[in-house]
Amino acid sequence: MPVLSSVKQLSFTGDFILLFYLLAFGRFFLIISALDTGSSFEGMGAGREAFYSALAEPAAFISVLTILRVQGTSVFAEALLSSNSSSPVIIMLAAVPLFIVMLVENSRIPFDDPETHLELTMIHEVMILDSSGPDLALYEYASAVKMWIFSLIIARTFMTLISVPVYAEAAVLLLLIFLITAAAGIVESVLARASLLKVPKLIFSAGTAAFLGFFLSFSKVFGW
Amino acid sequence: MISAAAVISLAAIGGMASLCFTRVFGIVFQGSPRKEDLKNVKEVPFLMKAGMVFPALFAVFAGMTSFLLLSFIEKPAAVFTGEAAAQCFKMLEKNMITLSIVLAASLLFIIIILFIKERIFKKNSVKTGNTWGCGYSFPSARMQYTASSYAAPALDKFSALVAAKKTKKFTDELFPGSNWSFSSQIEDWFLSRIYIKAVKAVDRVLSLLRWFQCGRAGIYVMYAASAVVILIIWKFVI
Repeated sequence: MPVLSSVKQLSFTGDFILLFYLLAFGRFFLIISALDTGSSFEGMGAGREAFYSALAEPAAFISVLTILRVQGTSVFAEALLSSNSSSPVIIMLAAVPLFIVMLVENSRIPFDDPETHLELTMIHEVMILDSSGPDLALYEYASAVKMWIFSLIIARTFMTLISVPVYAEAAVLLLLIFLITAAAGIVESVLARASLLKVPKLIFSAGTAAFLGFFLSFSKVFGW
Repeated sequence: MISAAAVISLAAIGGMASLCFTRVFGIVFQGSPRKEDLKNVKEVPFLMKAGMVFPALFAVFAGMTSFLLLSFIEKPAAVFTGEAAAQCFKMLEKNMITLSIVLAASLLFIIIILFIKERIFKKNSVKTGNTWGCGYSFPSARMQYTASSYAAPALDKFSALVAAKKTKKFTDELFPGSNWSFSSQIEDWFLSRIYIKAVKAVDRVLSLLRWFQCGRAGIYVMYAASAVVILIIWKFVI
């Protein structure tokens, strides 16, 4: 994960695939641990989590491919650490679907309610309903880390639009992460939880927006 | 554009594969036994499991050391692509070494976490019991999620492509009775609407030659002799 340009990190062609599949690896074990409880509630949540993540992943990949294409590299870390992007509009069109995917993957409103106690409306929380103690602590910590990862990706995406001095990079990054998480909080406060039947449509809309940005990255008509 | 389409397809396939394998693994191995006769099932001896351990270890080894396996496919690929294969594999090898390092480090991290957790909570006792079912006093293993239920959100959304057939038999009673039933089948429409139809069409054409097979050995010897005579005429006369 690219954090600061002054810190050398592991990067290679296709590193974003490794990143998202490591997250999927964790999700796989979370789902089978939910199925192991033998409860229909956890099974319900596990089925929904698996399906919605399967819809959200292509949207995230398309957004990342758009960013890579605009930055002219095949290494995700290099793409996010570079600045003064030549196509700000397309970068914004890639960042919005990533924000929506962040809400999906981290079980935020309108896709899921992290505070609900109604099993029929749960997705992520129901999978950890029968966990307690250290197991629950590890699950909650993993969720927090995943939120940080997505916020970091979106923050660095925005930072490709501006040129930040090295000494101020960490402060700007933290400020952007704070603003992104605040935006997630505002979305949760303003919107209500969407009906489960409408959640796939919302995720498809994120994919459509991502595809629009990807398509525009190939178009030289607008000069963006 | 083609490589982008390939990556996007990879993402979609990965998501669906995750759905598929969690369903298979979860329904078969997780939870409580769903039938009475499965409650007394015992684990097989270690020697019977050992045969599965080696392929499993090799699968992990192949994933971790994939750069070593590249050399086996480089030369066959070069037969079709020439020099391009060598350049491509050189780039792939470098990436795969980095990938293997990351995967090995991740696996080691997971093993360490599990080891620490095991050591700290070694003295804790583990009890098994029925999972709380939202106030229902008599939950049973039959109330667990089934494979159809698990896949239902995905199947309902892609019902036009999947063509799931549901057979329901309900009555007007308030509570489920013994005469209630539900079953769902997924038709493999590629098999039934494309592949089988194509094979049947080929079979209809080739069945016109079925008269060749008459079951008489003398006729078959005559076929072989006729073929040899035709070949001699073709080679030496024509």
